[in-house]
Amino acid sequence: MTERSHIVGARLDEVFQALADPTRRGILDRLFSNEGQSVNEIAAAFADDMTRFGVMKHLGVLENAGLIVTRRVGREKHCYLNPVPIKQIHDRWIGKYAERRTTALMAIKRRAEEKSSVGATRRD
Amino acid sequence: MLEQLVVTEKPVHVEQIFINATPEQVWDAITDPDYTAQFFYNGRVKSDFTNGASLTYIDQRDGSLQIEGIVVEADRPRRLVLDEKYVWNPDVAADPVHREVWELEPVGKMCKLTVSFYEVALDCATMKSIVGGLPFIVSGLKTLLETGKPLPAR
Repeated sequence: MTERSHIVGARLDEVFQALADPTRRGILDRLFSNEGQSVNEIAAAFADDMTRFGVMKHLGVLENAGLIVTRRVGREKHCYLNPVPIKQIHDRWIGKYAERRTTALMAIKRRAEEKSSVGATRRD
Repeated sequence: MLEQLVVTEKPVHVEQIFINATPEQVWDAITDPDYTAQFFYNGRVKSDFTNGASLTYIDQRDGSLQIEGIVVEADRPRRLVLDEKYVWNPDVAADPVHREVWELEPVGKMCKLTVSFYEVALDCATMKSIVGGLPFIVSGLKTLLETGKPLPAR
């Protein structure tokens, strides 16, 4: 990967572009159920539908988008599903609701505690 | 103190994030208890981060031990290798020690942080904690360094 693609990789367009293809979602599904598969294993799983070169291209798109991370062990390159970009999508559009809910729950807890301390004072 | 692991396998889980900060800033955030308390499930890390040093995470809310471990390798600001045992509940405490490798690499003006886990059984409580918790830890770290504020509490 080039330096530029690393930085651009943080951008959402690349994530959505990568996710828009059913084969690439299929690769992510395979990695979700079994992390750390080698490039050879993934290519073999898709051998009926496409060439090894085609699979490598899809893996490159996924890697540029940050959706997979590769680690070399010996001669094998292993692929891992990286959940972080998907978490960032969650944070962007769901995060503030989660925050409000947390804030609301904190407020309920605080009120409940205030009430119980008032109650305790009254009993005194 | 824990014995160091001998790791031969590929990682079982890897996550990566880009943070708009220098590797030194990221390193200091993951090794400073005042920072870790804000993104690491309230855990205050304690270690002198030299090779072979002991390491703990203590819950700042009640002082309980969350993680115990040893520093296998500390090469600021590039590579931090830790052997850890999670102990915050009986399920994770029943699992053996595993290895975590935190790699920091400058990319342009950003830091690429990659965290890899080794020697964790696939279905154990520790693995579930890693997969469920690490995205919150690394994105909390990113938010903290980029905005100065922690993610909202969970």
